[in-house]
Amino acid sequence: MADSRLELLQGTLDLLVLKALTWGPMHGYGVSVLIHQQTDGEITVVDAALYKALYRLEHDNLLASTWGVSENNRKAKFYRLTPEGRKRLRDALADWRRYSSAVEKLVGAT
Amino acid sequence: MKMPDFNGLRRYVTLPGRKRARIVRDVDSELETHLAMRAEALERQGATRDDARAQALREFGDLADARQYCVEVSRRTDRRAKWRDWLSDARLDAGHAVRLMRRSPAFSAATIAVFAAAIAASTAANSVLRAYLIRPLPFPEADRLMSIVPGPSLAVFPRSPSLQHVDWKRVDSLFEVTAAWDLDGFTLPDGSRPDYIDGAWVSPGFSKTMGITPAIGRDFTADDFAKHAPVALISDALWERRYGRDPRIVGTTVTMASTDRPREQTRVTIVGVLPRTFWHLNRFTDLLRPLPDESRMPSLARLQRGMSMAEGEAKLDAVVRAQLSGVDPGWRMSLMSASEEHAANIRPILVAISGAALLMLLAACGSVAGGLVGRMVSRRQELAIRTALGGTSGRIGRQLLTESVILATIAGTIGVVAARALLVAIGPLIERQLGATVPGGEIPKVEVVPPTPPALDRSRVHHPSFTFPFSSASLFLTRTFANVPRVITRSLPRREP
Repeated sequence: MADSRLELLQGTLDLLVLKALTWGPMHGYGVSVLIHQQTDGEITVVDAALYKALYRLEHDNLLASTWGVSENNRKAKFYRLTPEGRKRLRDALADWRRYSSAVEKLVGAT
Repeated sequence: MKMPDFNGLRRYVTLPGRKRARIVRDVDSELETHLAMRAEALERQGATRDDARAQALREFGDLADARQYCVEVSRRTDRRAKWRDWLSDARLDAGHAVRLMRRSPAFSAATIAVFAAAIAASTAANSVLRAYLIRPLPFPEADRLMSIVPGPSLAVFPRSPSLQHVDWKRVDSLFEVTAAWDLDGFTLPDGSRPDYIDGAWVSPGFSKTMGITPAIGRDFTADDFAKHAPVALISDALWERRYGRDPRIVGTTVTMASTDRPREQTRVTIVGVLPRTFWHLNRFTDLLRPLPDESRMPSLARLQRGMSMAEGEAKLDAVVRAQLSGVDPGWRMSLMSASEEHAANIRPILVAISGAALLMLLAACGSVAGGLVGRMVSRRQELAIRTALGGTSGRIGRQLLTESVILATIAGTIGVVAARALLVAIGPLIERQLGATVPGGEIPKVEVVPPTPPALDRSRVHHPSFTFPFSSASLFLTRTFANVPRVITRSLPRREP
């Protein structure tokens, strides 16, 4: 599994993180696991890049965080989407769909 | 039973203003949690404890880089959050303050009026003070410009020696440049309207000392002085009054008669017009003519660069004394800062007026503060409610501070505008009453120009660099006084729980 890690473009990583948090507030490890599971193990985000993204998005006011206690009783920082974050996710998703369908049109053309 | 996680709770309620150490600890703690969780998951899949830890670290990627990046970003986030909180609080406070002021318009108006009047008075008084005593004279390198005083002080010395036969040319070489002048009156009989004007015969160093560049035409040349040429410079005012600003005046020869030197030539060529900005220590400026080559005591001298006033004075006194005999031991030649000499007679008045204005400002601050404190009593209920709702004394204090700052800002603005109007209206009157012309021509009007440090004040731009600190000082004073309510909030009755 660790061998099949994909290098992600930054915009794509942001999109994945924002989307993951629509499942509800969660800590960094939770985001990492969720992305891995929801993509059927196709995508494993490098943790260093994930945390950088979380901090950057929080700085941009797209995420907010609070300290809490994890399911196995560890002190953990929980992230959640801010209203700005939700809006950004909507825009990013629309862009992503247009982009991927355009690429698909070309690549899938016979 | 497990102990509650006080540490986590404490973190949860910590205000945004965390210190760097706390940020680093938070980032470390978050990353460590991640590694531990991943290692646990790997252990569950059958890895040994050590292997699991090692793999979690490997998978993480560049941990040190991520840690540094997160700390940096977190610090920036923190700072911004702090600033944003501050701003939104300030907006709330300001809105509240404005509503309160509207609710008691009479009190607000009275407070503002008292305060604005005091600020206007002190700003105007200090503008005058600044114009005379603080702003440098409008001459190049005015800080080195000295008045030459024949005696130990400006007071008349009872047994002054006669200076008639002193060779003053030997004094000139002691200084960078000197200026001598002989005041005179001239009659201009030509044309439809004869004029009697104030003028002076000036030495070769005069232009350089005053920094004169003629607006049109030329300055006096060394030749003019050497050959005692019949030439003259006229002021902008005379050019306008008598010649209608006709540029053809340069090169024209006119007839003029000197009052003090009737034997001088009367057919004189005007070679240039002085700039409109030209200002002199006296009012004899409408016509300048080259002083005949004679020994005359200079009135102004600019010290050599690096020479102290005491040094210059000692040299001056030695050169003059060497040419005299039987001088009273108490007598000496002395130097005095030119600006100081110009304002010597009016200094006590100006200082007294400014002092009085300052005291008035203090009194106004006191009375405004008294009013605010008085109102606090009627606001105890409001404040008690806020305290009960969880307002800390710091937060309520800030609210009260905002109210005072808004009051003071409104009053300060009105005061400065009023001061400007006052100076425009009675500036010339002040100048006449004081009996000394304002260096540079006019009292600086308060204008909305960003204040610049006084050291940069070489231009003729009038700006309120002196008056602004005063308004700010008064703001500060009121703030300080108005903080008294904060002390009162501290002593508000605390309900027993």
